[in-house]
Amino acid sequence: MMPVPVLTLAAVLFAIGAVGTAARRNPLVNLLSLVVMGQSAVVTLLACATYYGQPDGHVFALISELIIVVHVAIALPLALEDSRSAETEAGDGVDVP
Amino acid sequence: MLRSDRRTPNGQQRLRRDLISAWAPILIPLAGSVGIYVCLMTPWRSNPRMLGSGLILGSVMAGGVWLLPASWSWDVLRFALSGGMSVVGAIVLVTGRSSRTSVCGMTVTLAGMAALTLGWGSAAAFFIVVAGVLLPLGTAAALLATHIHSRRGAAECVEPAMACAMGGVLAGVLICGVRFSHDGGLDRNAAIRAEDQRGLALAGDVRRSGKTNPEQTERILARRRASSDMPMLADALSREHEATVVLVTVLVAFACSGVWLTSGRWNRDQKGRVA
Repeated sequence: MMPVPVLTLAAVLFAIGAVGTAARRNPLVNLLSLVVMGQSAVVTLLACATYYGQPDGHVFALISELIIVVHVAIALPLALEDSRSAETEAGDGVDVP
Repeated sequence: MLRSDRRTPNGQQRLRRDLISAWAPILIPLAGSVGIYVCLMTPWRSNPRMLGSGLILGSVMAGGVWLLPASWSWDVLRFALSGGMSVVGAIVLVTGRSSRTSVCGMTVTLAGMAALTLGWGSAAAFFIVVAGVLLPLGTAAALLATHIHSRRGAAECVEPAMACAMGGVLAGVLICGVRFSHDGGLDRNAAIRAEDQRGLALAGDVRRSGKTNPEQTERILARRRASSDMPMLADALSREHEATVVLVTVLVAFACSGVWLTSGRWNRDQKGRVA
């Protein structure tokens, strides 16, 4: 697989994550958007590493993945605790700030 | 197959196997994509059961795209389906008006990325485990821990937590099952394609030198026919145990979707909301 389509997809995902981080005020959505941005970077690393046949990208991808997991493990309970007070019990019908 | 062969047990078994080989690789990803669209992109996504079904169908599709045969055109379709799944999940994540919807969107995005990167190397395998299993399970645990700690809305959080856990586990099991079932098939197809490229290069040299080699040409054509004959699913079906695990997982996923959709909780929620 040529890297250009994969890089385009990663760019689209990164842009969607950036929009979610900037436009939404819900801390949980902000956090998950950041995770999507990070995962798009990991996909980019893996695509380039696979295409060029170099192991460096795989190593960077592993380190990035670990950082993302730790980041989520620490930040998610905090974000949920923060958003819990603002969130209503309704599903999709009521907007969460 | 001859019509008379279909009456024998072996003929019927072969016919059934041919039908599965022909239709399963197409139907599973298509059903998954339609299901994901209906469950996550329509107003029905306010129904928790539909969200959970979207997760399950996402996991089915993530595994199903790897049932597609290994050739250039199918690779494009596989990329389009898994990439589209990632983008749809990300859009649901950003546009979802509740945390539950956003979490489900993220899980579908990660499952799509895992399906996309399948077979890219050791780091990609780790990515699949992290994206397909650990992150959803961690999210579910965090949701449960937070709500249990706060002693408020625990019943509300059990649903998305279970959906995340179920989606993650199913995605992990399905992806890993298909991956290991087709491991030999992937290797074989890579070897065929490499040999094909070498053969084409040799054939080009022969053509440029003005000499023909019928034996070599026939060998190249035979390899091309073999590589475009849906070998991956055939390999999986020849390994009955692995294929059974994958197919049973798909059936369980669909059964869970059905139970989820037909349970009465949604009606009670609607009545309470109207009241």
